[in-house]
Amino acid sequence: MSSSTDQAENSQSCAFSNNLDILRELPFFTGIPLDVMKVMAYLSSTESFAAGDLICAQSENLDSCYFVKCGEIEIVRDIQGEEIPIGRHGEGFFFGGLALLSPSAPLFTVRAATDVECLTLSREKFSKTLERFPEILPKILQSVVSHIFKWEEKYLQKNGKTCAANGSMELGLSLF
Amino acid sequence: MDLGKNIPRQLYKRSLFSWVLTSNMKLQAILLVVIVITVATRVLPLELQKKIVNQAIGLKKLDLLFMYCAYYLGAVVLASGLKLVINTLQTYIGQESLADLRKQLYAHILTMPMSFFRKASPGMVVSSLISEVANTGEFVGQAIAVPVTNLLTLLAFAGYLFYLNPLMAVISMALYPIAIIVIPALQKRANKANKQRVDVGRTLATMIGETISGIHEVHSNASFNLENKRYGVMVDKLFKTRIVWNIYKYAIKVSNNFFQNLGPFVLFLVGGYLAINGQFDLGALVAFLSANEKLYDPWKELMDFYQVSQDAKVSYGRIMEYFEGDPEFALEPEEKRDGIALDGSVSVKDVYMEVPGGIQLLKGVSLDINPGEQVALVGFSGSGKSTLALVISQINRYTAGSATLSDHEILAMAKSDIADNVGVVAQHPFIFGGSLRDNLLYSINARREAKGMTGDEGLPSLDRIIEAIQQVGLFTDVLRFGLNATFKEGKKENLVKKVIRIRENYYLTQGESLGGIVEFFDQDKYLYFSSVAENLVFGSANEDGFQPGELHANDYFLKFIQDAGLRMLLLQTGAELARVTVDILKNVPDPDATFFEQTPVLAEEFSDYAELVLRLDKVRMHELNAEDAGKLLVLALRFTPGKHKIVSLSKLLEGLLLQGRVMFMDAIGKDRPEAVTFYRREDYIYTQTIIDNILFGRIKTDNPKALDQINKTIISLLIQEDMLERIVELGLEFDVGSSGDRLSGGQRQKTALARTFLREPRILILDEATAALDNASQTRIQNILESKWKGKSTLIAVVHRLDTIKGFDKVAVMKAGRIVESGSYNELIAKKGMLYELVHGSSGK
Repeated sequence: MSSSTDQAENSQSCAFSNNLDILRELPFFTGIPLDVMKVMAYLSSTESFAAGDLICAQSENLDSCYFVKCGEIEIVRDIQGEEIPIGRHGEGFFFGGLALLSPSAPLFTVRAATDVECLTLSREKFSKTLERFPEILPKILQSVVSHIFKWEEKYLQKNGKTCAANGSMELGLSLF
Repeated sequence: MDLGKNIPRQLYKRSLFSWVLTSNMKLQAILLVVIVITVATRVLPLELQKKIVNQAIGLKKLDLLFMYCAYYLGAVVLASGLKLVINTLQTYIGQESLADLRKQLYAHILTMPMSFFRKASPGMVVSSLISEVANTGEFVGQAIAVPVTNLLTLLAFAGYLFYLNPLMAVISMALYPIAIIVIPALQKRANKANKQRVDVGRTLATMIGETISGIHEVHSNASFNLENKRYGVMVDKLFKTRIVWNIYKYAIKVSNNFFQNLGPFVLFLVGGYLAINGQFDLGALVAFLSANEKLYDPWKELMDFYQVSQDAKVSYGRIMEYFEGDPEFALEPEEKRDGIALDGSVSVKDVYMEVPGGIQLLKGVSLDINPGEQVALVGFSGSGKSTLALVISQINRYTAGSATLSDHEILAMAKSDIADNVGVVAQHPFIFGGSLRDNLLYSINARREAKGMTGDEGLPSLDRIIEAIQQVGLFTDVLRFGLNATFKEGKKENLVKKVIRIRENYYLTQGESLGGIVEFFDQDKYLYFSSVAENLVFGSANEDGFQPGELHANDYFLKFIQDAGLRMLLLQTGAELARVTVDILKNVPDPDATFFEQTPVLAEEFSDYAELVLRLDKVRMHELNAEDAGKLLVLALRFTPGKHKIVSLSKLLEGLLLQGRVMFMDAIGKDRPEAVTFYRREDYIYTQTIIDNILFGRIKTDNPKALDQINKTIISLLIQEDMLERIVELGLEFDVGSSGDRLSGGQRQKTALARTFLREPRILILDEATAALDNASQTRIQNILESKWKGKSTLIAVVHRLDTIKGFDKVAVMKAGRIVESGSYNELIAKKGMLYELVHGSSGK
């Protein structure tokens, strides 16, 4: 697996069309017209990380979204000084969409487990696109809302009874 | 006229005519004198005509003929010459007045209250200052000249006619009232028809637009006949109104013509009758006819002038109405005195702020701040924390209560005093177009200009500027800007030598590890991070014609690529680049510099290429005209596959270009050996940036760790060669782009912070000023504020992120326009009240 940008230039299809193909498949961007997708693909870039490199740190301002094109990343959560591994993901994993909408401090640290190549779009460039095409915002919000509902539905199906038995109101994320 | 400190008061109350009175009166006086002379020279030819006919021709005196004709020519030429003088004077006076109006209007606009700017559109302000005031200038120039000239001319001619023969004069005058009634009546009807034509045209355009937008409905309902009928009705209506309008227009022309020719008809009739009866001589008749014809022009000019004055009145009135408003705060103190130096204490007592609509943004806020204290204002959005900060910085006008700085009431203070003592960093700071240095010095220069300081007086030293940019974390950015600068050949010879030395040192020490991050200028490899032009002409041009930007027009080069079989492929590449760029950006409104980073097309060329792409669809590549082919070639030559990711470089083209490089070197060596110097390690390459020269190659990665590593090494080498400050100076000259769009959001915020830090104000107000920065920068700035500013300057910071407020002396928590808690961080956390809730997300109780 090549981590350098040489492969991107040498391949017959250019980075732009690769980016476009990737973005069109992402659930976060469902419903966005092709014109605007092209602009976002155009403004995206590729970033490479060596194994062990930090991609985003818990509680540190995250300002881009990332899509793993190749390699593996690991997600950890710092709980009272201890690093608890949450999971590993490989090619096709997307994170940081919410960071595009608002400055946020992520709840997890994401690191490159192997050499990793990511597609990335910064909040600043996304905002410039959004300024010029404000009609895409409702579509993105729709994706986020439906994602919250799906998540809570799944969670309720698995843990609904036990949470209710505990008494504490941890449920109700989708009631916001 | 330099406005200096004289910013006009209540400009909007001035009448249009007042500008005539303040125009250059000396010139107006000269103008009047010239007019009187001109009028005289207009009457003279008439008398000469009479004399020529009666005396010279009648008495058959040839010498008199010559003499009178000569005088006639002289008079007419003089009259034209004087008319030229009049026009010049008129234009000068008008434009001078216009320039004055523009300056005063702008000065007035800048002082308008903030409430005006919330509603105003920059477009309206621009058009007001540039186009809408233009006819005021025209009016002022003509205001005296035109009415006076034409009235005097009319009087003079009328007088002369009476002198010749009162009866005929009365008859010829009698025709005018009729023309004055008939023609305007026709004009009114024509205007009505014109308005109808415009309305019908507009309706038709809207209808067509609608139908096209809803074409899918037309197709699915197959309503072709219906739509065609609707359209036909409108088109017929348009046809009819146009005919009516044109008939009226021609009627007016015919009437004008008729009345114009009616005059001579009557004169010939009556005059001829009188002449036959010996009561009138031929010369007088000729003069009479001449004068009659010439009477028309002054009338017409007066009518035109009336129109100009009406238009000017309407435009001027509209502008003054739009900009009606007084500054909310005094700009300068009433009496002439030096600025006040505040001690930094702030006292807010029971301040209310109500906005139109009865909404209270601040409901009785009280806060006392001692000199040098650091206070954080926190609370949820809408709690009023920004509003309060803006009250203290004299941007918002509070409606009740008292807010003082060192016991001076803020409402009563002059803006100049506030600006001398208070520094504000807004959440979305504005960065003006120009160099980075201009922006950093903006606040300082504002005060210097107001105080009339010249030269270097009051400017901070380079060391101080460097300190400020280091404090805000802009130093590496400025260094990068500097390293990305290029030197012009012939300049900075000593710096060039230093760069070569650095290049060698760098390679010796770091050469091994650079392989992965730098693409060296290797003769045998295709360079993905250099343009096609740079790849082909693998060197620096000594002749202008071979500079990368000029190659597309260079005959030698064009022939070369044709012979080398590269031309078609390059044109295709250029076409592809143009097509993809236009396809992506065509619907993007107002694209700024960021949108042009990945394409070889420049922002100002975009519309050109958009048109070209449309043409490309219809024309085949080998049929392109030279100009279009040249444009495509420009793009292809700029193409840098490492940077421009919209099109890929095919292996085929890459190979051919590499071959082309060798061929070009051979060809140039044979035909024009002096034109190009090929890259050599010992030479400085003037067409490349400093960093490219140091590395003798281009950086090919974005990885921040790698870039950091390169920077560190380069900095130490620059320090060794004593070049660091020169590079920083170059970096400060970086052009930030219109509205600073070549800077990232974080860089803009750091620039605004440095701008204020350089001023060292007594009171510093930060309105969520570090919101866009990463953690490391926020911490760094927080540390600077605590170490360098505590005790010396008062700090009021509106803060959103609560992990930064622990070091503040006082924290004030706001909710719904009131301060609900205030005290030190630890005190308030122990209380487990609002601050605790904000920090921990839930009440501790």
